[in-house]
Parts: sequence; C-alpha cells; structure tokens
Amino acid sequence: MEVESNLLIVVIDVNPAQKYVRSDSKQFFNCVDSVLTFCNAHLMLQASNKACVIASHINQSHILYPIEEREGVTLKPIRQVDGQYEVFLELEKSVRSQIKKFVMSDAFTSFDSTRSADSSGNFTTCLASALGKALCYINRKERELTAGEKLNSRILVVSGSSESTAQYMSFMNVFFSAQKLGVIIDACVLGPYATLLSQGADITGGIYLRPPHIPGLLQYLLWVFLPEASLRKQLALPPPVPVDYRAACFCHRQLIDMGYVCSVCLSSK
Amino acid sequence: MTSSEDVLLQMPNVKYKKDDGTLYVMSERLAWIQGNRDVVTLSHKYADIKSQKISPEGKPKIQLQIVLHDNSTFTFHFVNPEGQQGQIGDRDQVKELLIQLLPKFRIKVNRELEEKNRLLMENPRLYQLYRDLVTERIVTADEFWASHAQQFLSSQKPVTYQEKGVSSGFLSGIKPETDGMNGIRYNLSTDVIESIFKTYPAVRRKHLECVPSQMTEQEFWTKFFQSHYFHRDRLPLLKDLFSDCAKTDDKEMRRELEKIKVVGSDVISILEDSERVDMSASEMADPVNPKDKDKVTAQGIYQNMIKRFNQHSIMILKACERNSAKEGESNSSSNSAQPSNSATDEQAMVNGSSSKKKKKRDKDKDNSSTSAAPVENGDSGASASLVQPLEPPEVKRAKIADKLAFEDLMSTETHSYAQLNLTRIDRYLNGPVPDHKTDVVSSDELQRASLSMREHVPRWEGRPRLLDSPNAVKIVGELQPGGALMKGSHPDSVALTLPKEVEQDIRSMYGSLCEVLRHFWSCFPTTTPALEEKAKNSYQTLKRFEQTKITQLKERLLRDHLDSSKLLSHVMSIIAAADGKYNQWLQRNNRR
Amino acid sequence: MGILQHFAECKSLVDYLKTLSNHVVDDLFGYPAACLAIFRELPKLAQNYVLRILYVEQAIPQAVISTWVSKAHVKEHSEAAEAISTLRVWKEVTMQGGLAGWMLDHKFRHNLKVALLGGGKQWTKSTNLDQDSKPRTVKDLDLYALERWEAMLHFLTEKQQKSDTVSKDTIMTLTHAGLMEQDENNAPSITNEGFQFLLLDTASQVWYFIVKYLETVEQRGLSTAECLAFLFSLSFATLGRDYGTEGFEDNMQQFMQHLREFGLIYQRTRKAGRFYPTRLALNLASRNNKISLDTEKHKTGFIVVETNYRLYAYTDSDLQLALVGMFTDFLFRFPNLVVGVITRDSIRQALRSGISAEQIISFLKMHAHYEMIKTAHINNPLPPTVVDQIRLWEMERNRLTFTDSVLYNQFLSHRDYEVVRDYAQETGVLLHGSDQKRTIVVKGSGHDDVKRFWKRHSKNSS
Repeated sequence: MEVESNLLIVVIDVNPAQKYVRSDSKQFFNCVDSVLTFCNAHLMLQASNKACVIASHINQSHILYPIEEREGVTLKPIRQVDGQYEVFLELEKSVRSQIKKFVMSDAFTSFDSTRSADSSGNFTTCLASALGKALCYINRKERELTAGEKLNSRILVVSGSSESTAQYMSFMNVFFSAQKLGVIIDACVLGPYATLLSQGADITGGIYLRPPHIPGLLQYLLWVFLPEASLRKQLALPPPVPVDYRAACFCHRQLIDMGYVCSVCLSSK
Repeated sequence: MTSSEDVLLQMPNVKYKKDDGTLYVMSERLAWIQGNRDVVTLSHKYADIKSQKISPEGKPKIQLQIVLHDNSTFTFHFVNPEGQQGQIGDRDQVKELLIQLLPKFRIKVNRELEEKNRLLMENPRLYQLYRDLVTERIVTADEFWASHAQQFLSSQKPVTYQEKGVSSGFLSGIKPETDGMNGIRYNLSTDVIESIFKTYPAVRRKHLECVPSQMTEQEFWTKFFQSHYFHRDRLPLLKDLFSDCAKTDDKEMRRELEKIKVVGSDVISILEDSERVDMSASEMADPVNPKDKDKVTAQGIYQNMIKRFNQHSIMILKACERNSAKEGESNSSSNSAQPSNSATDEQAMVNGSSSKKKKKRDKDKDNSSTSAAPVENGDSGASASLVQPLEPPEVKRAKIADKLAFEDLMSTETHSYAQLNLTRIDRYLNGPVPDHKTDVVSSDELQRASLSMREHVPRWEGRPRLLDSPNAVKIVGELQPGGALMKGSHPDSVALTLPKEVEQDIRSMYGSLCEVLRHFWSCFPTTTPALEEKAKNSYQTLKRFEQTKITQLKERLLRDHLDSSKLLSHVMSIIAAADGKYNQWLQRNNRR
Repeated sequence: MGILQHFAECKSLVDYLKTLSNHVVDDLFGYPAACLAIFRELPKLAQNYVLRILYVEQAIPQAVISTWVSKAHVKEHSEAAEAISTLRVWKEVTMQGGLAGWMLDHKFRHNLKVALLGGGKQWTKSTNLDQDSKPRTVKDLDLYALERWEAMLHFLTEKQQKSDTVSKDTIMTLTHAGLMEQDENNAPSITNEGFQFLLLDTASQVWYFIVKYLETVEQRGLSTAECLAFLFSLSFATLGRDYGTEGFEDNMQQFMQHLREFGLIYQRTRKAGRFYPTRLALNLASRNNKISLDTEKHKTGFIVVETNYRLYAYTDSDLQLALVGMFTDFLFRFPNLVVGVITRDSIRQALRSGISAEQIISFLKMHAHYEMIKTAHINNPLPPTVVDQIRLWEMERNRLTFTDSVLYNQFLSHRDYEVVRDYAQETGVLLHGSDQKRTIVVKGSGHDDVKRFWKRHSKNSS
C-alpha cells in the first residue's frame, strides 16, 4: 500500500556560450523540446511521478516548472488543445513560455563580463547553484510527504558548457549532499568532456553520457536516462566512463600522480 | 602352534560345535584347537570381535559367545568335568581376560578408519579428490592416502591423550534398582569402580587391605554405600570401615595446605578458625550437649560437604601436577605456568556452582597453585621462579614512570604556540581543477549567440519533428550491447551463462587434474630411481585421467551444446605441456 | 467468496482488458487516453521497452530485445514481454532472415505519441469555455460525489427501499452485478455479495460497479470502447476544472447522465454546458492511488482499533456506521464518535451473512485512522492480535465438515471387511475404515453401489 513516486529534476543549460548553441541556435530549441518530451515520458510512466525543470545561466538559475502560485495572480488554466494529455501540455507550455520570457529579458544578456567570466575568460554556467536549488526542492518535497509515501529523486543535467574552476568546491559540496540524500545525478553532456560532472555522476551512482549525435537527443534520453534506479540494475546501460580522480596541484593547476599533502588543509602539491 | 604370540590363558574342556577342544586366549587373538590336533581350527583377531556374550545365570549350559563385526557368532561351551561351578569359573576367567583385551584392539582399528573418515569429511576438497581419483580407479586408495593425503595425515600431531577426569557428580549417576525386598541394588561396572578409586584414594587403599582378605567385594561395596561417602547426612564419625578414611583424608588435606606458603595469608589458620567458629556456633545453639560431636548437626553436614569439595579440588591439582611433572621434564620453567593455568581453569569449571566460602578458598588456592607448581617442578632441574607478590597497579605505574623519566634529559623550555595566519583564503574555497584547453569565448561571441537565440524565439512554436525512424534506428544500434557507446561494458560472457552443475564439474575436474599434475611435475628433475618410478607412475595416472574424465566432460559439454573447445582449451594445453615434458624426458633417458 | 471471484477476474485494468474481445481492444487503441491508460498498466520494464522503440517504426528481433536486459534478470524480461504481448500492444512478426521479431501496434504507437506529443482530436471542446459563473471548488465536488455514492450504498443497505432516490438504471446495474436480488415482495434486497461489496474500499467499489455497468452498455446502443475511452479521458482530467459538454452525441450524453448519477461527474443541471469530474472518476484506471473523499462528516481514515478489541469510529455518517455495525457491537454513541467492541458474536454474525474475515480486515485497514498508520507501518496498521483473532474466529467455523454417509459394521470375518473396504476405496467412496473395529464409513452416494457389490460378493462366496 506504500505509494512510491519518482521525482525527476532536469537542469537545462540555457547559456548561449555553449558550443552547440553558438554553432546553431535552432538546435538549442530542439534540445529543449527533446528534454520536455523526455520529462513528459517520465510523467507518463506512473500517475504519481513528478517533474521539475530548472534553467541555469551564467550567473543565475530559475525554476521553470512547476510554477508556484502567487497570491493575487490566478493563472488561466491551460486547456487541452488536442489529444495530448493535459498535464503534458501544461508542462510544455509553461516551460516554453518561461524560457521565451527569460531569453527575451534583459537578465539574459546583462552579465557583467568582468565578473561573470572566470580567470581564463570562460563564460561558464553556474550549474552548482542550479543543482543546489534542485536539492532544496527535493528536500521540500520530502517534507511534504504523508505517511505511507516514498519519494525517489534524481537529477538530470543537460549541459554543453565547459567547466569552471571557481565552482569546484560548490560542486563537490552538492555532489556529496546528493549522495547523502540518496539522489542520483545523471549527466548528459553536449559539449566537451566535463570532469566535474563525470565525478558527480560517479559519486552519486548516476550515468554520464556524451551523445555523439545531438539531433537524436531524445532517443538517447529515453534509452539511457528514463529507467529509474531499481530498473537500471536490470538493464544493460552504457558503461561508466573512467573518471580522472587525480588531484591537481594547488599552485600549478596541473594533474599530478604523486605529491605532498598538507596535513592541515589537505591541499596537495 | 606356530604363532609368535603369547598365550595368555589356556582353557581346556571347551566345546565348540559339539567338539571337544581347548581355547587359547592369546595377546592378539582368540584361538580354539580341536581335540589333540596341532592346527588351529578357529582363530579370530580381537580387532574383528565386536563383543562377547555370556549365557544368563541359571541356565544349565555355561556358554560364551563372541560376535564379530560382520555379525557372525561363535559359541563356546565350557564343560569342565568338575561341575557347574568349575565351568562358571573357567568361563569367567576367559570373560575377564577378553574384557580387558578387546577394548585395546577396538580402539586401534576404529581409530584409523575414523581418522580417514574424519579427514574426508572435514576437507571437501580432499573428499572431491578422493572421489575423482579413487572411485574412478585412476589411483588406488592406498596410493591416494600415501601420496596425496600425506600432508593431511602427517600434519596430525600425536594427540596428547589427556586423561579424562572424573566428574564430581558421578556417584549420582549410579542408579539403584530395588530388588523387591526392601533392598536396593547398585550396579557397579569397572568404570565406576575405577572412578571411585580415582576420586578417593583412601577407598582404594582400604579396598586393597580388605578385599579379598577380610570381606568380599560385595560386602565392601555395601559398606561403602552406607558410608559417608555416599550419604551426605552421615557424618564420618560413625565407627565404621570408612571413618578412618575420613581421618586420613583430613590429614591429606592438611598436608597439602601446609605446602602452601603464601605471604600474607595462612590458610591453615583460617581453616582452624572456621572450624572453631562452627564448633562454637553449634555450642551456642545447643548448650545442652556441647560435646556430643556424634550428633548429626547441620553445621557438621555442611562442613562435610565442603570438605568433600575441597578434597576433589586437591585431587585435581595433584593430577595436574602429575601431568605437568611429566611435561616439565622437557619444557622449561616458563611453561610451568601453563599447566597451573589449566588447573585453575579446570578448577573454575568444576567448582562453578559452589558456595562463596569455597570460592575464597579457591582464590587462595589459585594463588597457591601458581606458586606451588614451580616448586613442584623444582625436581625437573629448571630454575624455580620466585614468587612475585601481586602489587596494586598504581604502584606499578609509578614505578614504570620513574624508570622512564630521566630528569637531566628533559628540556626546560616551554613552547609558545604560533597563531595560524592564512593568506589567500580563496585558495581553500576554490579547489583546483586542472585547466583544460577549453575554448575561450569572448563576450562578443556571446552577445552574438544570445541575439541569435532571441531571433529564433518567435519561431519556436508548434510540434517539431524531433526524431525520425532511421535516426532512431541508428541510435538504437549504437546503444545495443556491443554498439559504439557500449564499449567497455562487460557483455555476459560464456562463463556467466554456464549452468551451475557444469561449472561445478569443471571446477572439481580442475582440482583433481592439478593434483595429479602436481605430483607429476614434482618428480622432475629425476635424480633418484624412485623419482623415475614415480614419474612413470604419475604419467600413467595422468593418461588414465585424461581418458576417463576429460572425455566424459567433453561429451557432457557437447550434449549441452556448449563450446567445449573454448572451455577446455586451457585444460588441453596443460596436459599437452605435461605430455611434452614426459616425452622429452623419455628421449633423454633412452639416449643415456 | 462470490464477489471476490468476480472481482479477481477484473481486478485490474489489465485483467479486464483481457476479458474484452479483440475488436473492442482494437477500437480502444484509437483513443489516446486509452492508450495512455493501458501504457500505465504495464510493468515498469515493459514501459521502458515500449518507449525505447516508440520511434522505431520497424520490427526489432526478439533476440536483440532480450540482450537489453542483463542475464541475471531474464525472468523479468520474459514477464515484461509477456505482459506486452497479452495486451496486444506489440505483435510478433517474422522478419527477413526468418528471425522472430516484435513490432509495436501501429495504432497504439500513433495514439500514444499523440498523448505524449500532441496532435489528434481533443477530448472535450473546452478551449473556449469561459469562466464558470458559479465555479465549484474541490470541496463541493467531493461533497457531491460522496452524497451520490453513499445514496447508492444506502440503497443497498436499507430494508425499505425508496425507489425514487436511485434510478431504475442503477437498480438494473446493481441486480446485474449480483449485489441485489429480488426477494418475495418483488422488492430488491441485498445479497451476500452485496455485503462484501460494501466492505470494499471506494476505489474498488467504483471500479467494480463501472465494470458491471459497462457490461450492460452494449444493450443501450453504446460502444464499449467509446465509453471506456471516455472514462479513461475522464480519469486523466484535472480535479476542479470544468469541461465543456458540447459535441458529444446523444447516447454519450446519456452515458454522462448516468455517470452524473453515480457521482463520477458533476453537472449543475442536465443541460448545463460544463461538467466537473469528481474524485471518484479520477484515476479510475490506475487504482494505486487511494481516493480519499474526506469531508467533515465522512473521513476515510476514521477507525481506531485497540489491542483490547475496542473500536473507535470517528464518524457520524450513517452509512459508515452501518458498515462498521455489521461486525462490531456498539457500546456508546457520541456526536462525533462511536465506541464499539469486536466480539466473537459480532464477528460470527458477520461471518454468517457471508462476509469473510479477510474482507473485514481489509476494510479496517482501509479505514484505519491516520494516527494508527503513523505509529504502526502503513502495511499493517492494525494490532496483530485483533487481526489474528478475527481469522481464528473464522477458522472456528471450519472445524467440522459434514458429509452424508452410511456406516457398515459387524463384519463376520476380517476378509469380508477387507474386501468391502478395498472396493469402496477403488470406487472412491470410502470415507473412513477402522481395522480394529471392522467398521467402514462410506459416502451416501456410494452406498447403493457398495450394497450391490456386497450382495454379489456374498452370493458368490456362499
């Protein structure tokens, strides 16, 4: 009689600095559509499944769905326009409108280029804050459970950005908190190799995938990331990518095999 | 008679199957010769005899029957012309002898087989080897035990045959039977009698004195059972046979206690004190008859019990000292602590449920035993270790600390600790990630990209065609096990799909094969003729093994449609290596 | 166990679908909502399979699909494949090269995609529906649904029937379902199965009732598939939202009126242009979610059972009290609380009317108070002593079984006895034979047979 529900949180990277976006911006919207269809497929599996979509930008992140009701603002109910299930339609429509709003807004382009870029001039997405928001959402949902309900959560990160060294600590904090909470973090990487995300997937028991063929993103998502944790054991999924856990020297920022460790702060040289 | 054994007893007038003859009880066998012949008609080793039976009393025929292990029986009829009494006497003689002899042989035979059985049961690998090699007639049983199981057999150190002690409650195990006439029958077997003698040496002495000179066995034992040894509430003060036993026991105990010289406690004085106290208590309780020590008082009974326990403990100690004296001749004095430890252990076990008073006494005895043992072993020639008085731990610690600290080496300064000032705190907040050669995006490019995104926004409506079938099929192909993305995953190999029995078979076959091969390879280089012989034999064994087991396995695999060539490739290669080596060796030999 | 038998057959949507004929299922595949409902009923692994090949429009070899699962879980794979095949979601095809393959049913694939992505027809024409002048809140809808459903259940329990509370159609359905029967006065009265029905949880009741109703639907000129599809679409609607009624044909409108009567939808008037689905209709297809129709008067979790067999029912609703009163003796009654005690007599009385111990226990579990669930586990909120005792009281009734039989004794000889006994055993009518007393007990039905045999035998021997 215990009701088990699965919560899927998708973190979409809307940073225009991603390589695949810069080359063709239409591809970006296709990818968003694929991700939304994937979310709907997740909701389709079970009536008790839930989803949440978070967008992550260079210096900000927003929860796009579900939209919280604000006092005084009654939203017009989204009605079925065709045979699509209402809930799916709702998700798609709201996320799309939110993204449109965001892209057109000033906040999208107003970033202080001196502050947001890190030392090497990269404009990287602040995924860590988006992941943090996701974890807070999960925590809230867990508190709202009634007796006899169980919530399994997982996070999927769809991103093509390169990684920022400045976020290392935050990333590690997020990954270890997720591990403690029992939350799986999957990574679908559309750009260059992402060390931190692969480490995160390894730590939390998720899957790291780099689809070679980006337009077919939906099939990859449906195949690899849709099954829930208990099913993943039964299915034959892509093998884990060997993670480079070597430490980097603190002063030279180079990967080292053997080095010295400070006994106070555990930083290595 | 051409045997070289000793004849322990010769009994004429014994009929077997209605023939007259003589029964010979020898050291290893029982033999019967008919009439005046020379050749032995009937002979059975004691090892083969399972048990003996006698005809019940009251029957006219006096017979003795021996039962062999295979349940065949042989009956001997005693026909002493003197009459029934003589016959009974004859038969009893034979019986007594047999009773003594049979157990010795029984143990020996069984022991060997038991050993082997036990080994096989304990070692499943050995058992498997045995099954594979011996039952398939690749190796004979003797060879097996000689070579393969050698390590197991020899690793058994000679079991130190520890004498089984006598439990303090064994007397209660003698269950009496009523014989219908207001009397009680006690059945005494030799074991019980042995135990009684072991526990009470005084009784043994008395027995030697009295029987058979003054009284019969029966009378002696009747008296024993009436005595204080058996009845708790009968004090040894009655003037009966065993009262002086009690006195001797007391004297023994005193002597033992006197051996104890522990600093700070005087056991004997405690003992005397307690006795005095008891006496006075009984005096106070019953002032009318102060001197009536014959009366059965409660105090007296308790004292008696306690004395009994103490005697038992002393017996145990003595036994252990005897043991340790035997070992002490070969061990150094450092091991002398061990037997006494075992003594204390035994003591603790035996006296587990005793009264508190006795525990205190035992503690004293513990201390005494540690000191007594080295004194006892003084005759072994080892140096006696001094008795260390037990010190309280604080004193010990102080002493040790004293010895460790050397004042003149200690430094006189006190350190002041420096405060830790961190520079560049952000180093600790932002860990290092190695700099990848990431593409640097200039802010111009960024602006361009965001603008193009904005342009596209109005066009983002409707239902896009997300995925078409050919693409989907292509991607599905990539994601199949064995596809581009699945490299590195371990597809379920043949090994995982083997049914369990086949796996087991292969495993056990490997075990036996490796055992055979081990013996084969150990023969090379052949330095002695014995090794050459062994090499030849083991090669033969290997060949036999190959013929039987390997072909069996191959057939089995073929039946199950499994790929035998892949599975058995390793097996074939190691056999081929052995073949090659043997042939090479043969050639070299022939050349010489 | 009458109702449970019927029940087992259509316990879940899957089983019910299996009972439908092929062409009905085919029709069903034409509706996206139905496809979605069927999809949700599949086991999880099967769902993943279907989604994986949703976009692949060709057959896939079975061997390939079986490699998707690791070897250790072959059993789950075959179960999943089996489930998909029985629902006819995919069918076997032979591909080139003679390999056996599977291909998704074309209609199913198309409509599932519609449900997922869009396209196709909408279910109700509600896009341009303007704001309802008198909107109904969720609470109102719950009250309404409860009132309607309880009216029907009351109808089942009351002795004197006021036949205007419930329409003739409902009575017809109830009779067809076997919950009521005509007694001597030609008035409908409740049957044993009706009692059992009352003790089920609301979701099961609704489902059972609808299933039985659908069995009569063909007679009224509606197609089962269409009604089912409507029901499925209804179950996927959002609670508290109104939907337009225009565009439905007349017989569908009639169907909707029936639903209105059962309490599954709410319409203010018969001709109103909008309707609201109620909680009873939601999640009709997937009965995993408990429907909790909580109002002040009527809460679903209202029973507290103590280890001393006392029962406290925090309710005022007559129906609920009537249900509880079937197997407890009431001691006190307060405005919001009723105290009763579960005794041997009360349970036996319930058992006599045909309710089983399992049903009583599941009823108690279903309505266990939230506090009980919190302190104990949700799977067994009741004290085990009470549960076991109820079962024991039921088993007491099974101590003795009666069979009609005939006793043979006083055989003259042992041989005679043996002969008769063996014959009786061979023909299978022997119930008991005692060698010492030389008596045989034979079933009543076999008595003549054995008698004839004996006469023949004694004639032969004498």
